[in-house]
Amino acid sequence: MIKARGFLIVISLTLAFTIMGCQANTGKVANVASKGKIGFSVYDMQYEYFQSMEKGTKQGIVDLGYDYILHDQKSDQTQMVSGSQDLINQDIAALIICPNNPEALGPIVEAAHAKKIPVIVDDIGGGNSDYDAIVISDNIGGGRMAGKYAIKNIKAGSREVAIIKVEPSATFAVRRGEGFKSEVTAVGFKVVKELSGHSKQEEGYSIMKDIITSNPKIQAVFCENDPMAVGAAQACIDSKRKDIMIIGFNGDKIALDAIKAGIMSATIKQSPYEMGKETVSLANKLIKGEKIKFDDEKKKEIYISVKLITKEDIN
Amino acid sequence: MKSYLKGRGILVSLILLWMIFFITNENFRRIDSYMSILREASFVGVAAIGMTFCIIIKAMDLSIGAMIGLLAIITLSIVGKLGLITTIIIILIFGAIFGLINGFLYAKLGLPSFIATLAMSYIYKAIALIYSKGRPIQFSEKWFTVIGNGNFLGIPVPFIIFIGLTILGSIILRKTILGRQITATGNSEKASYLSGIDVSKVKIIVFVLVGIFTAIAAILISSRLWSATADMKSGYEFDVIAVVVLGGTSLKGGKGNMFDTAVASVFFASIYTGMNMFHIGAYLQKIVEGIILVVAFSRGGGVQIIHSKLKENKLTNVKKPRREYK
Repeated sequence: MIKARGFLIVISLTLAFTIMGCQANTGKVANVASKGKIGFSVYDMQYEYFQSMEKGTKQGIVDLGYDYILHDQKSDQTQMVSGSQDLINQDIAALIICPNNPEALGPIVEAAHAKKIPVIVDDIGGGNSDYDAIVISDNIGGGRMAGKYAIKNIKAGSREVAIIKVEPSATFAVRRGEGFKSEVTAVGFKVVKELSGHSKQEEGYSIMKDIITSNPKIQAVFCENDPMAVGAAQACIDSKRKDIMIIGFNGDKIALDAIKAGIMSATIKQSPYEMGKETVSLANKLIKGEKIKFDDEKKKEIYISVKLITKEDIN
Repeated sequence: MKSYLKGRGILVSLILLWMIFFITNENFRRIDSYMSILREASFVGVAAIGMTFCIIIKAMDLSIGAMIGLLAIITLSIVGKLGLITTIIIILIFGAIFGLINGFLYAKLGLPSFIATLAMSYIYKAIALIYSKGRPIQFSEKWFTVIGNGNFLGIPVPFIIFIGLTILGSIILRKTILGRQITATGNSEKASYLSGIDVSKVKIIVFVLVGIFTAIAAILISSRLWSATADMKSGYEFDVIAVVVLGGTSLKGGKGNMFDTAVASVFFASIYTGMNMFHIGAYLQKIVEGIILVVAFSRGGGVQIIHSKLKENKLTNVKKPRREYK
């Protein structure tokens, strides 16, 4: 038994020193004249989208002279809550969070507000919690952009278009289709089909196949995300209908490749880097007690502009 | 004091770890950090109480993660309509039923416990996905969320519940006939059977206990997170098993202590919080997690193998076979 105890002690010491050793390697971004710390809890650093969001956030924090603490939720909502709690316990001045599960934001916001720490949500969703601000892409504007692009490039024909939507619960992303719809119907286009592909590439494919069969005169399809757009483009190739215009949303690499190869027409690119930077400037304002100008006052939303990407932009 | 600490390596380890943290990191000089460790330890700790019984009889329940997801979803969808007390009763009954199914497959059909519970974990998860339609379920009324998030006299409410349940678990294990039968079954199934213990009944009861403690953990976790999804805790069983084994419960069966399991869950939570407080990157954290698992299992399997072998021959804690003269 003594042996077992000694073993454990050795292990705990090893762990403790591993932890401290790792700290020396990763290091903190420390400023000489620090104004305080800002914590950022990120969804999952495995994805390119969140990596560039993190870059923007970090840059913003360093530029403004705060100390930066990062926490990675690794796509786990328990980690999200406990890790954010750990950030809050480190006397941060503001918490920026890109939540893995927005529905679990409640306890985090409550704990932060108990210590008078403002919470800024970056993308994904607010989950009915009492956050201080949320930064999202300008989804309606992006949809309108896609609509304008379609109008500009479709001069003649049936003027029939379709929308492949994300799941109805993705409350921000469904606005993309709304923006697109309002733009094209205003000039007399007909939206003949509006179906949900649940954000999945394979469903984008099968829905597109159905649309080609039921509405052969279709001229353009707007997909609320890129994977579905790539799926739809694949369906057009398989049905030998290269004339149909496919527009996506996100700016994912698969979509950029598809645009380069000429099987997709355009996508609307989001800028996670800019979103990250914006969250920091909001945090700074909240720390100083300045007033924030919201794009949607009631829901505390702030929109970040998006960009149309076509073949010309890639080469 | 010295004799008390002897054989309580995990407690010494925890104290050492906290001392190192206290000295080297300013974040650990605040009481908040420790309270947050105790809060996080409660969730894994409550589930580990059930698992301790399970590992004592040399079985393993790999369905805990899926079970928590399903029970948490049910909790949040009924608590608003039925009120707290009714919900707790219903969830405990559900947990007991799930445990009963697991135990039946293991004890009566003779499936290895990890296969039986792994199979059931798929089913629990599928039911959770079907029931919730893959969507998170949220319930944020204050009277419910205070269970997981509140403090009573500055101490986290879930930790108070956890301590109460640890005492209860310890009483069951040490002071009841059932507890002795569980230990005996873990020591030697054959000898227990020969001495008149209904071994398969004991096994089923153990799995029912696992189900009940898992159900309590599910209620606490869903209250903590205000929300539940089907896969919120997938893989959680390995955290729980690691805690139990770190606490000195031998994977060879027959030996276990609830208080050491409780200390181990605090130790486990300290490591996680420590890594966050020292700002260790997510990938390096995975390495530390790997080390903990290796350590836990090598300790549970290696160091104590001789002890349990010896015990098997000595038949400690087993009542002598009853002879009936006529």
